[in-house]
Amino acid sequence: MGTLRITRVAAVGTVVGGLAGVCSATNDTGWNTMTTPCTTDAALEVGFISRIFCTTRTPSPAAITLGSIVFEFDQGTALFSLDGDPAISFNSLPSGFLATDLTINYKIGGHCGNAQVDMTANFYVDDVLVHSVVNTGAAIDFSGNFTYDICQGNDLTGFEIIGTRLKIEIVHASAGAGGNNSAYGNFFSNTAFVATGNYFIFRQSTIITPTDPIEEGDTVDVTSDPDGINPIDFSQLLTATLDWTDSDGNPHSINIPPILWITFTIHFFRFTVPAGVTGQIVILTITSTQFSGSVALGKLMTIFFENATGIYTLVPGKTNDTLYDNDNGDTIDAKFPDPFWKTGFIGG
Amino acid sequence: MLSSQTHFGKRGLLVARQSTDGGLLHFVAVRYRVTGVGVLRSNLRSLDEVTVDPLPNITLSAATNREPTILANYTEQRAFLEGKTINIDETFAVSKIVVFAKPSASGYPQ
Repeated sequence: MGTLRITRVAAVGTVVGGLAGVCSATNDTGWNTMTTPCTTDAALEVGFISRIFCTTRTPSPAAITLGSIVFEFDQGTALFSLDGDPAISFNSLPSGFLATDLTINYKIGGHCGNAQVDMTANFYVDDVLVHSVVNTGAAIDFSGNFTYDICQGNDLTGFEIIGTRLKIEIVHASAGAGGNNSAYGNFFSNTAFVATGNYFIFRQSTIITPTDPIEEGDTVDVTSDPDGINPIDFSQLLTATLDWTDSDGNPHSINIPPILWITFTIHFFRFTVPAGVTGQIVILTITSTQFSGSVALGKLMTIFFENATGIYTLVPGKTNDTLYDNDNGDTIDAKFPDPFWKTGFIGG
Repeated sequence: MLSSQTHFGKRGLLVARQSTDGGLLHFVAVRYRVTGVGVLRSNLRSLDEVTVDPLPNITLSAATNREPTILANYTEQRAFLEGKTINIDETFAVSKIVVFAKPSASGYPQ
């Protein structure tokens, strides 16, 4: 599990309605670095939109004013900071990345003490209203947050905010005499947005390169580094698949059914190779539900085959069995399991 | 290397023939001709291995001029003899087994 922050938008799109021509958005700078900072707010210091500034107040006397600003996100711009690290793009997110939640905090402030009266802010994602806030009082600033489900199930492609639009629509409905900033002038002048959430890695892959081609019935051990920063958690194993290419170049993929999972603890996974796998190089993909990690990927440290007797060689006079010992990279002698003889039953 | 050979002496076969069906036998001793390395462990076991009589161990040697007789005190209708080793690199070669037994009762009461 790690933290996720959207650091910026890819582009500020159209500004329409009553905001067109008078409002602009500042991307990727802090709330506290705005041109005329009136207050500071550490929580909003780094947001994906640090400021929306409108240079002209609404008409006087004010009529209902409606405008909106659209922010765009794409897959190639470095937008995502994982655990405070430098931002990376959606396309560069680690394999198995899944955002679990995203909360958008906003603060709509008056310009140096000017109140925002009778103003409604509507938040849309892809033209679907996801949040609305109304300020009917005389508060100088108003702020809040809403959580948007950005995930479509457990699907890697379910980061819904990507490729779509976040639109903030502002409705200013205060009536009265113009020219009074404290009532409705310079509305919407300082506004910031921060999007933060959480993520985890639920899928990981590695390549098995045994000396001999693996085949049905082989036992394979997979371990993760318990001392690593982000060891993958096998205890929450959901699925495991093997992918390989046969000698004709045809790709294959086969699921390892749970009945073949022999052991799956936090750092250890042992399974039996299912029927049909014959590859020399096999890619193992593991899906889990937890990942105690941050931006650096957990790694599958070691893969080796369980001790096996291999191919027997008849040795005259040999009185024990010889096994390969992977722990020591050598062979060990093991006894035969209690050789015995029995007579038939004696008695009537 | 494993080898075993079961051989019943005349006395043992005679006892078996003389017993009537259901008669109880008193197993009193076992004599081996056995060589090897390590320790040979022997047991007399009943039908379905419900009861067992562990016999004294025999220390094996590669060559011996003796056929040791180990005592038993085991009464059953039918029994079999087993021998085994349990440690690595132990071997045995049995070439003769004599089981001493005699009738002790005609059978269990109804």
